[in-house]
Amino acid sequence: MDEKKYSRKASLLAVDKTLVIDYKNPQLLRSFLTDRGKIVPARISGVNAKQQRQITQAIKRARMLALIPFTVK
Amino acid sequence: MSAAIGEVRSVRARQGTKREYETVIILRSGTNKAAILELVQKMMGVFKHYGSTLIKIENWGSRTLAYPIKRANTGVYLYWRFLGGSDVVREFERNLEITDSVLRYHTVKVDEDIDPDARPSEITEDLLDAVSEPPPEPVAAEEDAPEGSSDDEEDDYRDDEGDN
Repeated sequence: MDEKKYSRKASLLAVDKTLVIDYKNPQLLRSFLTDRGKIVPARISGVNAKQQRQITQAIKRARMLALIPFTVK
Repeated sequence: MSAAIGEVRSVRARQGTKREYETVIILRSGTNKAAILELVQKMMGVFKHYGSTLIKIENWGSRTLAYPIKRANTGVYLYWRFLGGSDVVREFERNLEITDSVLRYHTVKVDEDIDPDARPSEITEDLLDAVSEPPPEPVAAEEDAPEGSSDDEEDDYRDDEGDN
């Protein structure tokens, strides 16, 4: 019911298997952030749990290096 | 335990192996080439003393920071990859801490149980000199691209955000 409101999409990572989650690739990580800079939940982005853990780790590292923002006002 | 300098001090580490680390350093954008070279030379001394090897060093050029760090809005990124034991990171980071031009650094352990002989260093004198120069154009282009492209895709769940 509520779940139906949000459409789960085929994740980028499922479409292109060659993509590697890396904190040095902010361009890829940005696709897992909202426009406010929050991390998108796995149920929305469609990635699996392992990938979500890697993405979260990578995003937090990239934030430390000012490659992606902590927040966007 | 009195391990020799440059050893990996871990019970589960295989003997005679090293760990592979990578560090990204953000330097103040006004840092001149001489200062960068000086930093690199100093760090080479640190690596040598701790028996570790620098396998890669890159200059990513000047980038706009996603948020200001120490009032700086842009910074020069240096990427280092090295093999070493447990103690080299501490000394490396201590040296970064006392270097004024360093805005921020971040070290990540990439891998462990690396045989140092199996991973030759790519570093040559020329490469070390080239580090003070930013790379040719592509870096700048990369910076601008992601801004617009990622925005359109994520409309579906935005309604969700206000509720929490």
